[in-house]
Amino acid sequence: MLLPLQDRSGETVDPFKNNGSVGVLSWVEALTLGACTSSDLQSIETT
Amino acid sequence: MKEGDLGFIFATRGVGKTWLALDLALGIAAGRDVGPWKVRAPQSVLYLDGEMSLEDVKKRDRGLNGVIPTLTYISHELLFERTGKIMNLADSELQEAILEMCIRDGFKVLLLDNLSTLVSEVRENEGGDWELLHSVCGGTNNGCVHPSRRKKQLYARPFKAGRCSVLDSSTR
Repeated sequence: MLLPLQDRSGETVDPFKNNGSVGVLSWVEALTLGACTSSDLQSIETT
Repeated sequence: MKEGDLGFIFATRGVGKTWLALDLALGIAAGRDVGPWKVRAPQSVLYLDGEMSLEDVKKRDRGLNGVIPTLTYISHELLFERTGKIMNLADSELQEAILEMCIRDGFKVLLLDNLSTLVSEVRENEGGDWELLHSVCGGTNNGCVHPSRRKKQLYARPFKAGRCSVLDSSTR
């Protein structure tokens, strides 16, 4: 589990916001959600 | 390297292509020289990783003194965890989205690591198949990392319309 989920501005985001399905995310939205700066990388928890 | 240029890092497995690519990305983003290559000013860099675990990305970024806001990673692992999506650069919709993101966020350099893991549905022996990547490999500075299972010329050929450089990192 990777937490927390934040966009590039630091806002908490919900990838399931679009009708409860990640499948409707556009690629631009997906890439934005998946992006992480070098500065923020170390704060992402991995298991 | 000038805007619109395309470069390849090419070597056998385990030589250190990704280390070199990450050092280049961090150097360009921080505005510091990388080995013999001069970096005149910091530039925003987007690094697409299709192979490493997120933990490895973190370790390598930390090991190279990362923590640079102008370098952005898209890790295949983090992307899948957050969105369920899997990158395939042969997908024109993904290519267009990457270019849109580069323009929107002002990325001047795009690094793709690596072609084997980021691209599927492409026959490695068929030079023409690599034309599927034309869209994403034009318009900004690009670097691609690829293991040397095949001759480097095969991969350079589809991109001959622009300036293209091939760096064989095994020759160090």
